[in-house]
Parts: sequence; structure tokens; C-alpha cells
Amino acid sequence: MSLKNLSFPIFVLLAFTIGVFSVKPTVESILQKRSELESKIAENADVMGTKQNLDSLYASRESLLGAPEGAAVYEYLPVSVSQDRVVDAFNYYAMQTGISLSGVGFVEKASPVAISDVAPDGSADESQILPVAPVPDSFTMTADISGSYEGIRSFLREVSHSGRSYMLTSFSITKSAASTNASGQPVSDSGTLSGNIVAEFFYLQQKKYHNGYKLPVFRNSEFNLEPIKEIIAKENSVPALAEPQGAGRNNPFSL
Amino acid sequence: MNLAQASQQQQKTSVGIHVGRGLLFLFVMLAVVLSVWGGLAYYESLLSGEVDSLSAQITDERQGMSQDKIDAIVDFQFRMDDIVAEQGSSVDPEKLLGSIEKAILPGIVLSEYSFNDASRKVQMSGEADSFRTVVQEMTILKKMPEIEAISVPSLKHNDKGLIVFSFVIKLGKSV
Repeated sequence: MSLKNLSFPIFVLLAFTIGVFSVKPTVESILQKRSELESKIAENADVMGTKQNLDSLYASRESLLGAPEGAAVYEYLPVSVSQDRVVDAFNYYAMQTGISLSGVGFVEKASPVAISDVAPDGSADESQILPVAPVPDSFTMTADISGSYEGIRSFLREVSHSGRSYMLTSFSITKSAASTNASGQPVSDSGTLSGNIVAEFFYLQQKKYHNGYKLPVFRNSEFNLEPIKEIIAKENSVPALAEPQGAGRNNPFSL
Repeated sequence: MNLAQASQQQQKTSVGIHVGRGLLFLFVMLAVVLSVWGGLAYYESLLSGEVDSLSAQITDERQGMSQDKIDAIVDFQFRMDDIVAEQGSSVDPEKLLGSIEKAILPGIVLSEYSFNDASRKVQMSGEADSFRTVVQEMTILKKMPEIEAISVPSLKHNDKGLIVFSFVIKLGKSV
């Protein structure tokens, strides 16, 4: 067979080889690059939006710190322990409700280490790790109280609306033993009760948040303050002591 | 003149033209394929450049964002989230006392009342004028939606003829 006769199949084979081994991968690569480009365009738009929202949110936060909503956030969950504020508040409530407060004690509680507190070790794609909300630190406060039933109840009501993040661990009220007169006979019930309250108060230290700009908060230009406004409204509207209805009475510790 | 030789020469010329056109067509086809490939490769390089340029722009924009501002905003948001999540998770002691007040019968006087969040239990001790009153009190407490279970660890007469009782109340999850 002459070379002229072989030329056609050789050219066909050459064209086929170029088509399969060069054009096809290039087309596939183009498709991939186009999709990559689309995602980069979206990412760029997202970053630009985040950047705009960052400035807007920061300005909003700065102005909120001077407003009741922003101030309430840092009062409710302060940056530091602020035990003095708790003692001041408890003393104030005790004076207001006519009970005596004694034996106040504090115990610090270490919070578990959150994922955001752990330094990245490079084992995972760090750019994909989103910060998680840290667990607040806390301290436990123990206080002995004594006074009338109404006073103790009012005191507990004030503590419940103290505008600080807390969790009541335990409380107890005990009727004081009846006192006796000079002849050893029990005198009429004084109505004084003694009690103990154990509550855990929380605080959250400021931290660094790697990849924080990826959080949903940066998708908006303003903070959603509605839940906080509701909490403030609830805290400010301390309900009056309800009179018992039907069965029951105001003070179950006395007849 | 040899007619047979002339005819053979004419046939050869015809085949040569035919093969020459075929080759030309194949060359054109090859050139087209190579041009398409080259064009695609150029377009791919353009896309790569655009992707790289955007990546660099994104990196620059991100690096331009103040980490202090980000931290302040995230801190504020996490603080708000925590406050909202914490709402209602703690028992309101005043409400708890209020609900107990409503349930205490006239013949009963409490001497001790305690609540523990870890065990979700309320312990109540006191005196009642009769066993019947104690049973009635238990019936009232059992009907309360916030109470899951009630037990009586101690029930006895005292020297004044009153019934000294002790209740342990297990609170439900709704409290």
C-alpha cells in the first residue's frame, strides 16, 4: 500500500486524536472554569455585601451601645464577672423587700472549652470552619435570707427580673422555730422565715472569631433587636403579686 | 501514436488530482480542528485569568475587613443569641411559690419548702389538721399541670395531734 493511500486514515486518526485528547479535555476544563467563575462572581458579590454590612453593623452596634437595647445586652450578659453588681443588686432588693441578706458566697465555675477557643491545627480546611457561639462562663452565688413570707417572695420576684442572665440552682424557705417566753411557753408565731438561694450568674468574655464574617449576621445591614426588645419589656414589667384564687392563701407558712 | 499509453497517462493524471484534493481537504480539516483547539485553549486561559483576578480581589477585600469590627459584631450577636436562648430556661421561683400558694388548703401550714433545679424536685414539709386534708392536698397537687409526680416520704402524728407530712414533688418539663 502506498503512502498516498495511507494518508487519509492517518489524517482521520490525527484529527480524532486531537479531538479526543486535546479538545475534549479543554472543553471540560472550560466548563469547570465557567462554573468556578460563576461561583467566584457570587462569592465576590457576597464579600462586597459583607463588607458593606460590616461597616453598617459596626456603626449600628456603636450607636446601640448608647441605647437601652445595646446597654441591656451587656448588662444582661456582661463581659466580666461583675460580682459586685450582683451583690449590690441583691442588697438593694433585700432593702426594698424588707428582708435581711447574710452569708453571701461566690464560687467560680470554669466553662467548657468551645470549638472557637481551640487554635486551628491545620488538619482541616480552616477557611470552611465557622465560629460557634462560646459557652458563657459563670459563678455561683449563695445567699442566706430571712424575713417575712411576703418579703421573701417579693425578693425572689425582684431577682427574677434583675436584668442579668442567671439560672436558679436551688432555693429553700424554712419556718423559724417558735420562740419561747420566760416560762418556756411558745409565744405566737413571729412569721419570720429563713431561706437560702443558690443561683448561677453568667458572663461572656470577648473573644476572637476566625472566619466570623461568614456568619449569617453579616447578611443583613441591621441587627434583629426584636427578641431583645421583648425581653427588656418583660423585665421592665414586673407583675404585681397575684392574690391566690379559690383554694389557697397568701402565706402557706401560717394559718 | 500508442493509444493505449495515452489512455494510461490520462488515468494517472485524474488519480493525482483526486488524491491532491483529498489531501487538501484533510489539511483544511486538520487546520480547523487545530484552530478550534487553539481557540478553546485561549478562551480557557482567559477564564483562568478572570478566576485568578477575582480570587485575588476577594482575598484583598477580605483582608481589608477589620478583624476587630468583625469580632465586635459577632460578640454582640452571640451575646444576644445567648440571652434569647436562656430566656425561660430557668425556673421562676416567685411563680413557683405563687402556684403552690394557690394549691394549699386551709388546714395545712408549711414548715419547709425547697426547690432543686438539678433534680427538678420540690420538697414540702408541714402540718395538717387531718389525714383527710393531706389526701385532699395531694389530690389538688396531682391535678396541677406543672407537677409530674408526687411522693410522700413521711406522714405521722405529732404530739399536738396534727399530721406532720412531707411531700416530694417531681416537676414536669414545662416548668
